[in-house]
Amino acid sequence: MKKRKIVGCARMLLALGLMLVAGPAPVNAQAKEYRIGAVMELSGPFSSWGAPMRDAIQLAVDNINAAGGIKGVPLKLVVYDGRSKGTEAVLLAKRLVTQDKVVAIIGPGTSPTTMPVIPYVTEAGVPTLSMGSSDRIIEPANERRWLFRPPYGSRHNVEKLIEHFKATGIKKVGFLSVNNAYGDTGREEFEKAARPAGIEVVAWEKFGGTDNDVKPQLTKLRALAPQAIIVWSIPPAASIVQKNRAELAIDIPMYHDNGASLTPQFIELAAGAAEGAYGVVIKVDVLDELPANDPQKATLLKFRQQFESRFGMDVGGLYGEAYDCVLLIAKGLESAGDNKEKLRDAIERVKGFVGMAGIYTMSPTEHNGLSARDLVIGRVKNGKWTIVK
Amino acid sequence: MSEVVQFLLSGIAAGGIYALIAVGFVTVYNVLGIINFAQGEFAMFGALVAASLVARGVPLVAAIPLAIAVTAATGALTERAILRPAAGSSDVVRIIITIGVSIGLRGLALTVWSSKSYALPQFSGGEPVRILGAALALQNFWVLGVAAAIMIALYLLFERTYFGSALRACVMSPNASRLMGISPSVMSLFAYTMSAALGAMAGIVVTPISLATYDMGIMLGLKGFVAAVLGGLVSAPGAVVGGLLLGIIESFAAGFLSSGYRDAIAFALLLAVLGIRPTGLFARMAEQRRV
Amino acid sequence: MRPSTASRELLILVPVALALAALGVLGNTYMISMLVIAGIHVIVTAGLTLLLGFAGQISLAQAAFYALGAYGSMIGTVHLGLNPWLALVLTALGSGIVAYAIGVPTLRLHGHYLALATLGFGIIVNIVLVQETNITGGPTGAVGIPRLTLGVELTSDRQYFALVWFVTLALLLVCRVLVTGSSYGRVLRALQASEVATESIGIDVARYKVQVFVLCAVLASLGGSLYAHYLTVISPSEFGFDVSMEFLVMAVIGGLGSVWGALAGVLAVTAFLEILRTVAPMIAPNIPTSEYEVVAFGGLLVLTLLFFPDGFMGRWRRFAGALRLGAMGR
Repeated sequence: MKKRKIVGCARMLLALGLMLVAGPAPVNAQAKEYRIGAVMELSGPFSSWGAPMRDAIQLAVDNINAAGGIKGVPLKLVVYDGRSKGTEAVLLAKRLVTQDKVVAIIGPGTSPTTMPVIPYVTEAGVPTLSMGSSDRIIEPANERRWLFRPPYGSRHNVEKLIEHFKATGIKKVGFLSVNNAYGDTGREEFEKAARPAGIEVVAWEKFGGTDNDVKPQLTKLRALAPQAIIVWSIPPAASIVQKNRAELAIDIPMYHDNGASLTPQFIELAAGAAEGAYGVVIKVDVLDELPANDPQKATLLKFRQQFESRFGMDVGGLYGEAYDCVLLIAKGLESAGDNKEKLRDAIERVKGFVGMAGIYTMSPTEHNGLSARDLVIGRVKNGKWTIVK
Repeated sequence: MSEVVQFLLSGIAAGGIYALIAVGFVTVYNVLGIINFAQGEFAMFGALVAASLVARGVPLVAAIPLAIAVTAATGALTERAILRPAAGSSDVVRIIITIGVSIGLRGLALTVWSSKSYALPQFSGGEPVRILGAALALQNFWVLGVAAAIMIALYLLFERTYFGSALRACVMSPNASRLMGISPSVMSLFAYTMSAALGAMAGIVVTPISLATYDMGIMLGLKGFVAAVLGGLVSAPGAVVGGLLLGIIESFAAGFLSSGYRDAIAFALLLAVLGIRPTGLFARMAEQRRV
Repeated sequence: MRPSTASRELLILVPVALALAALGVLGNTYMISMLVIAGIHVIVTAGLTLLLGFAGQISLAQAAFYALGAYGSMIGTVHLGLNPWLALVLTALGSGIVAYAIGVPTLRLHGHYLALATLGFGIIVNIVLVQETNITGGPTGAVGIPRLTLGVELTSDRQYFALVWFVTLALLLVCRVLVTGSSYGRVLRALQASEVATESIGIDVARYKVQVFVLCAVLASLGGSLYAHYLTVISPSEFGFDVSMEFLVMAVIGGLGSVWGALAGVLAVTAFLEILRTVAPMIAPNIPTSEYEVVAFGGLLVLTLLFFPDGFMGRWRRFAGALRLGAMGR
């Protein structure tokens, strides 16, 4: 009897020992490089977001290195799969800081996976550029010194939509959101802004991110006769909503938040049914129509060319947003070096920086930096986003 | 009015999908005596293989049988390499092995196809059928038709052929089957391969409606499983009726109560059925055996 | 309790405790946190080990009871202002009552009805967590859960490491004594050997099964409470159906019946993922490895279940048995 226990113990000790040995990652001290960490949702329910972000970040790092790095010092990217779990995100953030010795973290890519990371990165003092959509990541500003959230959030989308509704006289809308943190954040923000703007919401409907039939919700909304239906989701769900709308032959205009246009999959998967859909879009999606004097145009043309030659596919806004995270860190590193405190300060001082998603102006109370001014209301025509004037 | 009609049509459409998955559960359960948690993953696998073939220019009529064959082969391999060696283990361990298989298949799919979504064209072009302002896509008729065809075929196989009886005998008494000259090993291989093929058919026929992703099998599998349990887990017609019932109840409850709780309804129904009639709604007395 | 039992348990406990203490002193923040989470997972998995091993039943709601623990503690401390320890105990009691209510109707039937009921229950719990935003914080989650206090507020990872592993090892020991030492345990082991035989000597088998299921749920709830107070932020995606599946798999990999199996299963999986993360970039530095983790994980599960259908502990039990037989033959 004793023997088996001893063997059992030995096995467990071996396992523990292996972890100890495997623990400290080799940090290459002599070759100087700036290490940037990323926690992305590469598997699990948020994974349709993670891989595009990872690809864009890698492209940005490679481009910077090809151009000679940051004052001659190359960037090194360490990416982990957060498995769409907060627990995993916290552990990986700790791994990036303590073992991979990164100067800054990009990610996690969603609000629910970012929230648990906040206490640690704040305590450890690591500049963290989350890609979640909720403003809870960067507010209250005094408690979120170390957090930035470069992509557009729900707030910008709501602002842009309401501005457009006011201009076009839309006062009565139906709201359809995906039943997860992304949809809920949009719903909360719209709820806050709708009443002061004099916009009535006839119904708040939800649908599941993996549902393949949203027709019941759409028929309900149609019966209430709103002037527009707002859809808050990301592809593939957003594409399914468009397909169902076409099946029902609903003629009420449908407005998507910028989640839909962030990847080219939206139009592709809807297979023609996206035609006529409205959406908040980022300028890269309507690049050809931008006036030549647009401050972003030159940068975006170069970005699109680089992206398409590398990945052989159309670019989407999400890639630009993720790309910008690297650019912001790189800009900070130029002046601050690898001192995390200085790096944080430098990112906070970024002003009028032309990125792929928009023009960033940070401040101690503004850790997003973008403005709804750089967003565009677009409409799908002949399988491409066009500007609505 | 058009809402109520739409609830019904959407319910039938969803029910057809659940039924397709449910018949796969029934097939494995009838022969191996276990719940196959990888059933949804076979649907995913078939769908993604078919979508990739079509994207590479293979015509749909060729891509579909090819994808079903690839999935069936995967199922056969799984049975031989993983389930068969564990045949002596308890039900509990074998069920958990199917969970392992499902995680493995999902991981494989993520590596091969990444987290992107893939589409398939509708099997037959044309406008959806519109009744009183409600709509049902033509593809939904394909789903229902395939479900009905499979149901009839399985019913005939299990209830009307000697081979079907032999299949069912294996779970009741492997030793007695062996004495009767039936090989439980061959039967198990056959059943698992067939369930993989059924899963693939289900996945392929729903993809024009739902799109295909590496993780589509999770919810598909769970709902299909609930449908199979409602139908008593042992009969193909029961599974199909269970699926349709589940789809319709879910659609009406979601429509009238709360769209946010839509996915909870199926499982609340499962709990209710367990409380009232644990052998499933349609199981005959003779078929009341362990789940 | 027989002294030999005690000495045998100590034989496992002491080296494990020493190894952990060494890691606790030497490890960096990352390793310590990883082990805190692993410790919590051991508690949750141990419940399943007992349920699967002795009652021969599957629960697909372990993550839901884990969630009840975490959200119960959150509601108790954040909304009701209770002392965290009081909230933890009340939540565990509540989870036990819920488990009892599920177990009584389903475990009286022969068959895997518990698996069906827990499947439904587990998913419904998760949907409620997502929907009831005012209470649970919705899909984005609840924040601001206070830290635990033991005289002083526990804030560092090392403090939680010590606390969690003390609780984990103590709970494992209690479970172990319960099933090996007591007369209660003899019934459980009889149940494990043959349910029919146990029933035939007039023992109410269902009652014992329900009790094991309640214990299983209470352990998950305790783990959930510790988790909530450690991370201070919780969200529904941590407690989904996939997580229930992972707990089941860890239990089976470790081996059923002996709670030490839970320890072996969780540590094996944790170590495997860690080694994968460290080694993979060395072998293939240019390939984004992260996506292969899932495949490797699935592969590990299947291979382990294939070659060790009784889990690591079971394998060693048989191995040791073979050695003994060989010795006797001589």
